[in-house]
Amino acid sequence: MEVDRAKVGKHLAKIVGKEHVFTDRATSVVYAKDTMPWDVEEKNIPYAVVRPSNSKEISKILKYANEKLIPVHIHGSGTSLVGLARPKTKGILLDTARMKEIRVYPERGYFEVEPGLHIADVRKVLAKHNAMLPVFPGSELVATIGGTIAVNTSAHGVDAALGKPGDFVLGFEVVLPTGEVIHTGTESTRRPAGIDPTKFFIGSEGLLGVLTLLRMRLIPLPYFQHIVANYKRTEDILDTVMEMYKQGIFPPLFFEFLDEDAAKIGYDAVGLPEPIGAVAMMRIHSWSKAGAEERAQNFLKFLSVANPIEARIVTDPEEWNTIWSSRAEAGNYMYRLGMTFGSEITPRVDKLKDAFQDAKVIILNLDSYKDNEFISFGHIGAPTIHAYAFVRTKDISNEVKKAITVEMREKTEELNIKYGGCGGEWGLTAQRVSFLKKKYEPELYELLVKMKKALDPNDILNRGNLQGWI
Amino acid sequence: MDIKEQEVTKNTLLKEIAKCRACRFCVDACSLYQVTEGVESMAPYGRLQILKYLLNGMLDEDDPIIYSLYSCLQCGRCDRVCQAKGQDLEVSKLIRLGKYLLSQGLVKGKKSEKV
Amino acid sequence: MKRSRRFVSEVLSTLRDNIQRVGDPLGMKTVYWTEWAKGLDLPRNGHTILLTARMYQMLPYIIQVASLVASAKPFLSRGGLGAMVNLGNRFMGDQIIRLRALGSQNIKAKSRNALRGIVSALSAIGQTPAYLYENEPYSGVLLYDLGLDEYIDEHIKKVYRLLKSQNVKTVIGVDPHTVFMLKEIYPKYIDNYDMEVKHYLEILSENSEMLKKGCKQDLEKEFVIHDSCYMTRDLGLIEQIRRVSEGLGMTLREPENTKLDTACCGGPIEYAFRDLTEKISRSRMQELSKVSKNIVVECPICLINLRKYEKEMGIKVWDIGELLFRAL
Repeated sequence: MEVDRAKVGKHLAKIVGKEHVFTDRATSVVYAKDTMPWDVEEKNIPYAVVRPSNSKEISKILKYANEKLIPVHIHGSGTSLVGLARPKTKGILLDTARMKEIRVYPERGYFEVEPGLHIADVRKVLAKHNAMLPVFPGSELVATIGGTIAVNTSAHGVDAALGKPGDFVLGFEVVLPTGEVIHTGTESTRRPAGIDPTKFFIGSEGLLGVLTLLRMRLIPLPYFQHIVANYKRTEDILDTVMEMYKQGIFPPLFFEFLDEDAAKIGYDAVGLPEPIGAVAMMRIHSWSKAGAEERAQNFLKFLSVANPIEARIVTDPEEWNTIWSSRAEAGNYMYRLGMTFGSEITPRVDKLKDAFQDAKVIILNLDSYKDNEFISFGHIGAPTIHAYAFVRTKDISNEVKKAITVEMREKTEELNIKYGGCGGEWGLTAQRVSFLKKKYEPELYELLVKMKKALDPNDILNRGNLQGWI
Repeated sequence: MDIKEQEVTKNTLLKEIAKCRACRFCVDACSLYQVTEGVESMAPYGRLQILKYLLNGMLDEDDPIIYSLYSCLQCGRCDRVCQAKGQDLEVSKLIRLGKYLLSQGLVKGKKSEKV
Repeated sequence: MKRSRRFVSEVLSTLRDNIQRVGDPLGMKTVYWTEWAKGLDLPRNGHTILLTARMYQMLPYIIQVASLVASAKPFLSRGGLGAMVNLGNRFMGDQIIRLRALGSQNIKAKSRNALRGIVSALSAIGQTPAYLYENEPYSGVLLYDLGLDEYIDEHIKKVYRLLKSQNVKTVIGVDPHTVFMLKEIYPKYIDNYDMEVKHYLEILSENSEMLKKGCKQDLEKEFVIHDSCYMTRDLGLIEQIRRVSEGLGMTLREPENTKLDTACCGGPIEYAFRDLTEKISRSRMQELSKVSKNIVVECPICLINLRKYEKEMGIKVWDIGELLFRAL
């Protein structure tokens, strides 16, 4: 079916105004490019980029798209790490960037925000009201709140300590794939019980509707205490996490680790002296100051279970910030030295060590590449292992990049299946569809397909993601 | 600029842009991205992608590309962010190199190979 | 966005032609850059020179050309602008631009005071650099910014030859763009480049005690500082203006985006995208005016871009040179 760019552009311009529609190829290519390391192809390049400012406009756009059977791909910031953001087939790209209003209602106990606002900006506004945003992605400078709730990821956060951001959503304004605008949930701080459709849209990965207004409960900022511990080997940290759950100890809000190699790179990157062994860093939270201090002391005592070389409470905020940033910089600096291909393995807690060891074997024996290194770091307390294949050169062809990415994805997802986990950060469609199909009964995937068809009979929104197209 | 110099500049640009890991932190720092309410082609990352696809033949030089590249202020805010949190690329200087390649074809009375 | 290619092409060509023809980006042959120094009797020769590179003096004309260009834009499709400015430059351009510039006496006075203030300040700490008067060249910075590297080679060599012929060893620049060009870019085009290049604020801040003593008036007022992109990120000169300002009795306040994170005034793209420049400068002014109604800048381009909002936002924009003029 031939689609005329100019015609599409003209129609969209009637809806949002011509200055908010782009039909030129350059803009389309830029919007199509996501974080995946291989080039944009013709099939990814949209006919037009449309930038609406409210749900009414989005409603008209979707009604038009359904009429002409043109797919619509939703764009927050394009930072998805499993390929959700790249359009899988030619269509209209819907950019939410113009929708960035935020209103805080302390007397109502909630705030309302539009999907396009960057997380760091949401956090800034909430901090003024002494409120916490329960989302901690490394990409917060650019990641959008809409995308975060659509994927329902907390990134750095340990779910068992706080929950997922979706837990704090009170209601939505959402535009259905066929263009109807509906409102869900409540304005009270008590979430509805029962079959409240708010739930269907949390984590819906852009398949079931476009989120145009998010209402989230205000959480007061807790008190924090910080601990840093050095271990002879990464295995000791894994033991610690397993013991923590076994003994029923309330986990820290953040529980990160850097393996022996990552720790060296990370510490070097932030100007700290070379660390001994593997490093674990924890942020403990409590809504009482004394509580935070007591929890930290108790946790410190608990840490002796795996014989760390050193474990201490870090009181100097600057020192903590530097150590904490070494975690982000480890990944950043590794990428300066070559290329990294990641994974997210979130196994059953008592299988953490087995999963880690298996991951190492897989990554050091890839088919699509030889001579890569194994390096790991991540939110180990969640428990999530980010195991990386690290290649010390950038000179790899697009085909090989794709092949390594796909092989890493497939094989590490096997571990999620083998050890009872399901990942916890990046969503379940696009590159994770094959995992979905392998892990669960076929009826589960069919259930998702049925749901999708029920709300989106013409497969307009984010076409290709549920199918697992690359 | 003779053909050889043009090739060297093109290769330098492509090699440098390949180092970018698409973290997009530079995007938020850009004044143009801010005042256009978040148009991706008016952000440093977007400009680098435009240059890349221009150089590998997927895009042809046209008004929107000139608008995107020449609207860069060369203010350097993106460089700072990339140095601190990214891949230490001199993003604004790469964009300027792009202008260097394009200005050849834009200045009148000069015959040179189109980029 | 439409016709950007055509428009940028016209501007680049005009710029190139002007500089090749008369060495001046405005294409003006008549010497407009020495009037500020009337009566100062600065030495014409010396190892150390003060280089204005015509930047402050250009301001009234830039404003006029920018509005000429803005009003000509609708007629661009007939190839009007390039032809108009080119032809105009050759015969009447000088005249038209000069006549209209008379209307901008205010900015002319500010430029003049800024430069005179710089001279007074240097003199107060015992420095009397020479000034090349009508021989003063333009640094070529616009060619570099716009990627016209091929033409900048020629221009740089001309300028260097001139400086060498005048036995110049040290250049004191008064604006960040010129200092950046002579310090960072010229060495790339000249073998064995041995010119010492400093910004006057470096010299003043090194001798801030002496400068303080020379002050006749204390500028007891609160100011918010707008750092120049080039000064901070390209030249690493951050504390200098602060030290000098404190010496003058000013209370300096910082906006949120300051020092190495300073936000651009929008100036560098005004030649082509006025609407974007306006949005950027307005947004920056809103940020600055929230902190203080008095803004101090250290770059002539920042000066003309932020001044536009004086009436609207009830603020005043000062170049640090002007404040030196007042204090001494």
